[in-house]
Amino acid sequence: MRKLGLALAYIFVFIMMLLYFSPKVELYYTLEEFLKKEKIIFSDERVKNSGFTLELDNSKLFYRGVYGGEIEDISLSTLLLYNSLSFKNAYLNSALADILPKKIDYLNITYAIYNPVHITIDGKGDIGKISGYINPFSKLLHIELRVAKKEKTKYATLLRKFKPDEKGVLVYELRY
Amino acid sequence: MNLDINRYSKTAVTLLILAAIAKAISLGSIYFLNRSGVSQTVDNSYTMPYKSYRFSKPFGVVDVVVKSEDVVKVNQPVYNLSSLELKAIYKTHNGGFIVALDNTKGKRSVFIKMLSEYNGYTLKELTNEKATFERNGQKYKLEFKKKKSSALMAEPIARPKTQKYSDDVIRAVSKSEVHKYTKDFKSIWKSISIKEVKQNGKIDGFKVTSIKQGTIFDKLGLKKDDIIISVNNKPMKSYASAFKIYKDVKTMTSLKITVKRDNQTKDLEYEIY
Repeated sequence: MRKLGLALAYIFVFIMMLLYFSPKVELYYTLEEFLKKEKIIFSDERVKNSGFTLELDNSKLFYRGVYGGEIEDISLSTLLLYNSLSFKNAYLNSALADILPKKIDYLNITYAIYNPVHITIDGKGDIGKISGYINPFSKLLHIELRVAKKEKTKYATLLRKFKPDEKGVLVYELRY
Repeated sequence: MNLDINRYSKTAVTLLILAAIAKAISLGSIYFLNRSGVSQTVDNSYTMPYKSYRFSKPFGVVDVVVKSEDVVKVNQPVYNLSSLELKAIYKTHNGGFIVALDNTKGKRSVFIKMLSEYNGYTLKELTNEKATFERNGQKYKLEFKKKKSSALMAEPIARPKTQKYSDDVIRAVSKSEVHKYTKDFKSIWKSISIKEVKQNGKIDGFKVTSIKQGTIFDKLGLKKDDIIISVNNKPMKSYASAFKIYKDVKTMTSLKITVKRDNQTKDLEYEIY
């Protein structure tokens, strides 16, 4: 039993070492190639491998060659039992102000062992507070948005996709 | 004690070996991964703003009128000037002046003397019923507000008279109408739908798949199945170039859309005023 415990401990340590030494920068460059096929490009970013976290500073986002905005800080952490992708201070292209909020303060996407059914989403921006989840098993994206009154008319185009629930929270659901 | 040292050193050696294996796997995997990132090249080169120049003008040469009656009409189109609301006409022996309300400036009263310029329009002629302005060789009339047409007159724009143009004519589009579309992104997609046209995997223009009657795009003379190949001589080879036009159209004074229609290339030219 003691030997089994020791073996499991070694396996765990080995996995953590693999995660720590994994070539995150090169993995990110490979991911960029896949994103490029979907016409999504992160450009001019500073890529930094910080052990268990990959950090991208000042990324410019392009979709189909159109400048979408700049994200000050993106960090991707993989700790096996807790994984997160977070965006901080995203300034979107002002030309798209009619359909998208100008600034996103933060957006966290988390997948943790304590909530294995849901990938949780949590964020805040010009438009208001956002929370929700992705259920990879039922293939459902559920987003709840709490918007200030004055923003409702400003982002009318975007908010048309949301429906208010009984508490007045705007909800968007997508099955993919 | 000796036993403990042995045990610790054994654990340390095992961990070191595991670390070495993990590092070796990591280094080995780099061989299969990309070692450089992807970046977007942005065209920052400066290009002169597009202007529609007609070289005959400075030399006083009048464009030759060709054939059909339609084209004759089109060479001297008369537009309504609805950004102004005519209030009074004063004719004097040396010309006269008009009093009008400028709808774009909160209905401010303006006095415009004969042969003077207002917002690029020169007052050329006065009759008892109307004032005629001229701009870039085209005539614009300003009449007293009629009760029936009040809805039309309330629009703060100089709107072309509804008449059929030949395809070779320079049309007029009001700036405010253009602005309306640039401010409301979604209204564009309600009015027109376009689809990329690809050749050898690369975008080679945008095809108009549908167009709503009565919208600005319809008035511009665009037709279903037209392939927009360039705007202001800039080829439409990417979404970025199309988006750049959307962004810049607010500051444009003239616009040339080159389309492929029935396998022939046609230029649709507009003056934005």
